[in-house]
Amino acid sequence: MIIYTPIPPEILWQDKKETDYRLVEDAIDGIRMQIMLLPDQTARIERILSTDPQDFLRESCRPGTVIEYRYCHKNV
Amino acid sequence: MGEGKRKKETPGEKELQTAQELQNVKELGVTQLPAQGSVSNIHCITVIGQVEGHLILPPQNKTTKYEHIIPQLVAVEQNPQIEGLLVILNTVGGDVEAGLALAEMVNGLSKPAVSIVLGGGHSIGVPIAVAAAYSFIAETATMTIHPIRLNGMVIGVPQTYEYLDKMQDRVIRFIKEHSRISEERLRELMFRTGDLARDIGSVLVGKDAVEAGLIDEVGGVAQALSKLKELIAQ
Repeated sequence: MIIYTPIPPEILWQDKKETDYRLVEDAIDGIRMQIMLLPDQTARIERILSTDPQDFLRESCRPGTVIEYRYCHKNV
Repeated sequence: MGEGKRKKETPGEKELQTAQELQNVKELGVTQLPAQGSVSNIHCITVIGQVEGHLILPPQNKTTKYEHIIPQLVAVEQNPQIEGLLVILNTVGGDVEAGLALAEMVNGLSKPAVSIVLGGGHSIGVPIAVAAAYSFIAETATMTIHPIRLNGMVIGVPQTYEYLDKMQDRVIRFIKEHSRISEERLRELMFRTGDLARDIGSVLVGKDAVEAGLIDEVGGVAQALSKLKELIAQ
């Protein structure tokens, strides 16, 4: 595999071990998004994975919003 | 967004709407909900950070994954309500195969696509930018053109060079075929020395990319959208 980027490979491939967060993908309100799991069955919306620009206008799924998110271990 | 297509409300519908609003207040605490099933006729795909392909990059990298984008492009092609695609790029390149796959997908759409480079569209971002029917670059956006390099174990045999050259040619050919730049000019930009501190290659800022023939026009999102609407109307 060839990576074609001006970013130096040592920066690209450095593995920061302190990343303790977990990003998961799920559909919330019918919109696929990346969320970061937080304690107490909550999650923060990190990124919306949609092509519809209108989805980005929904207040309920604004990035940064902390939502209630029940997950079980098999999801993570 | 299809404003004109919407039917005029009859009194009965208005009552129904009020009832729905009441229901929304009762159940959800708000009067207005986003219209369900309404789809914008222009969809956009944002390619940010690294284009991630066959390997998952370490988590500190921001990535655009091809497994996200490829099905989205299929959906854009398939959905009759979507008439055009806006590709927004602010990428530092990434996996050659994933990038070329995205570029080919954008190019292969039957619906018009317009791309806009904001911030940066480097390396493998270049083929993605030129894959659209018409491309824009923001005045301050940059594109880095440089040779590809091999990661990992490199065996010092002539075949390694040939392989690398072949990979390089794939990228060059795609860019050449989908933009106004000539192969000589592209190779000259790619192998230029003295422009980049750590690498060989060159950086094109805004109008430089247009002058080189890579990008069609300097412009912002308004120009990109009006061009897309124009292409849709054709």
